[in-house]
Amino acid sequence: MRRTRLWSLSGEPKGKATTAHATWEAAVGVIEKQGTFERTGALRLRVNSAAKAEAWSGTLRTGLLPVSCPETDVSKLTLAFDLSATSARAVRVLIESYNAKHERTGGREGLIYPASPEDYQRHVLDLGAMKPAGEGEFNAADPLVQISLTISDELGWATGAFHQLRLDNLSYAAPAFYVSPTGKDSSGLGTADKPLATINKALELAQPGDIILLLDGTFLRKNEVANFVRAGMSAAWITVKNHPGQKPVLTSSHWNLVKIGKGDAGKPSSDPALAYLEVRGLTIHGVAEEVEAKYKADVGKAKGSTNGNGLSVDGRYNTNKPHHIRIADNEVLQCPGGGISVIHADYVQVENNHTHNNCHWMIYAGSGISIYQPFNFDTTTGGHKMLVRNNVAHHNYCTQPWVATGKLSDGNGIIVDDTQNHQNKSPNGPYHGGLLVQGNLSYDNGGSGMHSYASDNVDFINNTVCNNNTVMDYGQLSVTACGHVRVLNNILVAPTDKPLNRVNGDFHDVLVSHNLFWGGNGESIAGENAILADPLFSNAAKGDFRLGKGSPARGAGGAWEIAPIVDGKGKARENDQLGAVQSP
Amino acid sequence: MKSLFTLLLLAFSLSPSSFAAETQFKDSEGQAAYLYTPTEKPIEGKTYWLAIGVHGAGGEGKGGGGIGYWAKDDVIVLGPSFLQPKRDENAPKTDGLPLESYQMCGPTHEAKLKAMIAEVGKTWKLNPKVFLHGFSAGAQFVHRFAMKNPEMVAGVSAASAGSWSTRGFGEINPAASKITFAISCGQYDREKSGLTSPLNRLEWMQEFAKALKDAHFDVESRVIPNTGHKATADTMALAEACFQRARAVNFSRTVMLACDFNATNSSVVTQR
Repeated sequence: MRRTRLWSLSGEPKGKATTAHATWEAAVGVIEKQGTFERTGALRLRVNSAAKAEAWSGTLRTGLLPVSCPETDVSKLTLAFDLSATSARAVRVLIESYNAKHERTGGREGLIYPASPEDYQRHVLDLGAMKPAGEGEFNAADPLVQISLTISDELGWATGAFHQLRLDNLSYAAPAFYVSPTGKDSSGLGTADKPLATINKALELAQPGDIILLLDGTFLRKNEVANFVRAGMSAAWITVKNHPGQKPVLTSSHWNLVKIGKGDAGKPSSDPALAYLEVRGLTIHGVAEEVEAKYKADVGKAKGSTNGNGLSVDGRYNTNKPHHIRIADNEVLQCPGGGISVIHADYVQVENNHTHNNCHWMIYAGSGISIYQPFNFDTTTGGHKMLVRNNVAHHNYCTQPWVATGKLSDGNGIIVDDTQNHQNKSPNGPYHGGLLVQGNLSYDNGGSGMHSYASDNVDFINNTVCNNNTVMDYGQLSVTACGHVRVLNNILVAPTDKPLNRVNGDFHDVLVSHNLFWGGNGESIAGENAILADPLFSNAAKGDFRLGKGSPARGAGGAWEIAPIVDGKGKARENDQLGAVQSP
Repeated sequence: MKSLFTLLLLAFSLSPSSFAAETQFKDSEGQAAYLYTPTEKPIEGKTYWLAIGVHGAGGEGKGGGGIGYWAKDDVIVLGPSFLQPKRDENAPKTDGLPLESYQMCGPTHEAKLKAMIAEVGKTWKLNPKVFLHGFSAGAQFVHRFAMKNPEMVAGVSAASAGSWSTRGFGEINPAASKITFAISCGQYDREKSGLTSPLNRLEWMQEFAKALKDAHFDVESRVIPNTGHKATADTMALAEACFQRARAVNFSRTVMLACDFNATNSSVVTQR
């Protein structure tokens, strides 16, 4: 590692009456030190577009950065960073290669979509998914790169306003290890031509910054298929992801197929926290379909074969709990236990996952996606530290009684559970951060579609929640014993014998506004600016919840600052529509 | 004798050496080890690189395996001593290296070095990874130590080893591919180090270098011109360059940029 003055920095305005200034600044970045409010340094772009500005833009440009890339296949390269923006509007990201003579040879560009204003979120771009930009072709072998972030009126940023981007923890990396079910741990080198056999071997070898690429095939293990043992660093995350264009499948009858968390009830761990870790693009396929044939004797018992979770972040048995985790673009299915389970963690992003047909056999009342008892990594209050966006959750339901009550319970699509940390003698104390549940589609689940229980500071916005409660009767989107919760711009559709939503328990400061309600048994809390009408989905029976022609959900959304700007498929959307899925 | 030793020490401390202090101490086997430090005591809050220089067969740790002079600024140098196994003069000359030998990084020697690193770390705040340099038998030890303990090692300079971790004399550990290697051998160093050695020193070094490159290691290999079995200025320059390169690589070789803007406005962590 060297500390150099190799960076140059410029904020480039384009358009009359626009100013842009880029600076290095201390104390405007992310918080990396546990238990503090100390922010690191960051790059900051300030843009002022006067009211009369037309066709303006502002760009944060890093200058030429020296690199030595061991990978020639551009599709395998990854650019990642933490970004905070004053508005949840699209940001154009450009990476350009330069030869030794400082001549530009090519570039690639892509868009990112901050989920909310003033919150740092991790954004990851695979160069293979970025479009060619300008003349020439991006050359990975070139010794210099330049990275630019642009905002503009064209990208939806308001004219006549002050805007700001804060960029931190920038990384640019190639794959470090390849893993294939046909590889060898003993003689494999972890290279593309001699891959390792197990993900756990790669995780054992991985150092901060390493990207582990999984090749096609089924990774079948008796224990955890991927068990993280080491943290990354704030600017050098450890990533396990699919090889571009390939579909690795992880399966096991163990308690957790993918595990981020150490220790157990009998042997807590005081190891350093597992942090700065990413799981992306995997198919996590549990053994629920095999229970009848192979594990029938385990039903109702505390066995992994009938209770195994798909992806578990679990800090309950860790003195130093997991934080800064990103779970994205995975399909999690047929897990006897929960789909994606996040317990005693902080700064977790759950994005673009498809979780379905989970929880059927477990005795612990799981859900498709659950956030349970987050802990306070730092001393901040407010803001959105946990993000659940653009996920699809369906057909998650429980058939076995919860061992705690002897009755059926949960099986929700998405649940935010006990951020107040009242239950089970949680040592965490009340969670002071906020949770943003944005742009998710949740349908045909056994419990609620979305649920906030004993939790504070939760925003549900632009979700489509439909035909849930196939087992329970919680309502489509329910808020129970919570404070400071907003339910905004959602579409709720319920069967005629089930409640639409509930706001109950000991609650306070719950805002329900600009939602569309349809169906149900008459039990609902419509709140303000409600629409009671058929949303006219394109074809809900076949899982197509896009808004059809003439849908009353169009143009009905409130202009909330956290309204999403991208749909579940990553396409830009208009922010005045209700629900999760963009019109066709 | 004691007074003579004191005088010698005094003379040594007054000489214009590149390091400020030499400290001798006994390791767990009672062998003399030497620590070369830029200052008598650590500077509070400062983190130091520990470079370890390992002598050849029959040598000792004084001089830090030839890199004691690196001890300046934020570098301290450790020179451990390893006993050469005694040979039975009457035994047939098979000359195969016992696994317990320090050349093969036998468990006793491996554990001894780890203990010494830990001991140094009690006084001096160390970077989590060390740099290793060795010549001949020392080269055998350091590269095998790195293969066994990749998480502890940032870089390895190994010159003129009699055997390398191929052909059943050890294994190349994929996890060590993150380590920066520099390996070398003299142009005329063409003797086999033992009767059972499959290749001579130069051939084996070249074969090992290719094996590392095939395994995507970060390795620089060099044949030192007009040189037999000895460490020359070229050897040491290569070692020092390797150390500088290892220092520059904090993360894996596959991470081109890792920029945590923690520092002041103009000081930003970059990679390579």
